[in-house]
Amino acid sequence: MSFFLWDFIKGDLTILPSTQSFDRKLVFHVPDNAGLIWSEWEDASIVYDPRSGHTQVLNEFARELLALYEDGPKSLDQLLAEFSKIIDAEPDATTTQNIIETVAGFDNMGLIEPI
Amino acid sequence: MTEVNNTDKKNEVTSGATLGKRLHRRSLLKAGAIAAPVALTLHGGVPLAHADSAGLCVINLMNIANNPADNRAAMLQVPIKGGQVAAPKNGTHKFELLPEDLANDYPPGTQLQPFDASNLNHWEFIKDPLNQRFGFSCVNSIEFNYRINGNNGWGNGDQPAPGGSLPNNNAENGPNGNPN
Repeated sequence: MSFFLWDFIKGDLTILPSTQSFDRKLVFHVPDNAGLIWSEWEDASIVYDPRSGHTQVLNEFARELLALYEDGPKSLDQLLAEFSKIIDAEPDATTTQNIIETVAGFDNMGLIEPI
Repeated sequence: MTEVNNTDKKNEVTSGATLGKRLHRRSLLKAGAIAAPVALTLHGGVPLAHADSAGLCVINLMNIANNPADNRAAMLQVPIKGGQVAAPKNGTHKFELLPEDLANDYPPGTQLQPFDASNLNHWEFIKDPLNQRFGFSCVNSIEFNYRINGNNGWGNGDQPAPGGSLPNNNAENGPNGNPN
């Protein structure tokens, strides 16, 4: 991992909204006018957001989470329920926490927004 | 659970994800092969708030592509015809024998467009493994700088398979199982 990336990760975590206070009932969706441009790679996806000029990279896990939002608006609880069906099990506490942080990150990146 | 089907037009248009890609992704998740979701900003847009080496690499490529005074600019002109990356007239792979892209190497009507990171076709051009000239190192930078060794969720072959299952899973192990 590059020095620059590690700096970025440390910096980014400081601006993510607190997951402790994340409203699990708040419904998010991918904005219809986002105009996101995707480049799908073997095990990662890169998305360019023309509104902000930001380029984001998502691994397959995060990509599927965002795809679930692309399927339709949903709350965090609904997202977790959909994810549980995909893996045929309830996600453990660590995974659930990772998902919450990622959803908060999507919101922070502007990939999703509350309705 | 959301059904994955070919009529999911919104998904196809907005994400470019194919049915097969998504089904494969879900099979990896079900197998527990991806430990955690990872979403990072490569390039922070105009303010460059999240600039990093790979993001700067992309910006650098775009600057070079748009600077005719730079002798590398010719290698970052993407041949586009009919909305797709064009094949050269000689019938071989589009970049195999060409030191740079020249309009005469392509069928009439081909446009040479400076690399633009917001254009999906341009990414296809840059990441083509047979186009291992200037610019491909930038793709490598993005692909590999963002893979953290260990249980990182990328399935990038840097860990032994759990339970000694070697290649018989989709976990972190590489094609030969990476038994180390």
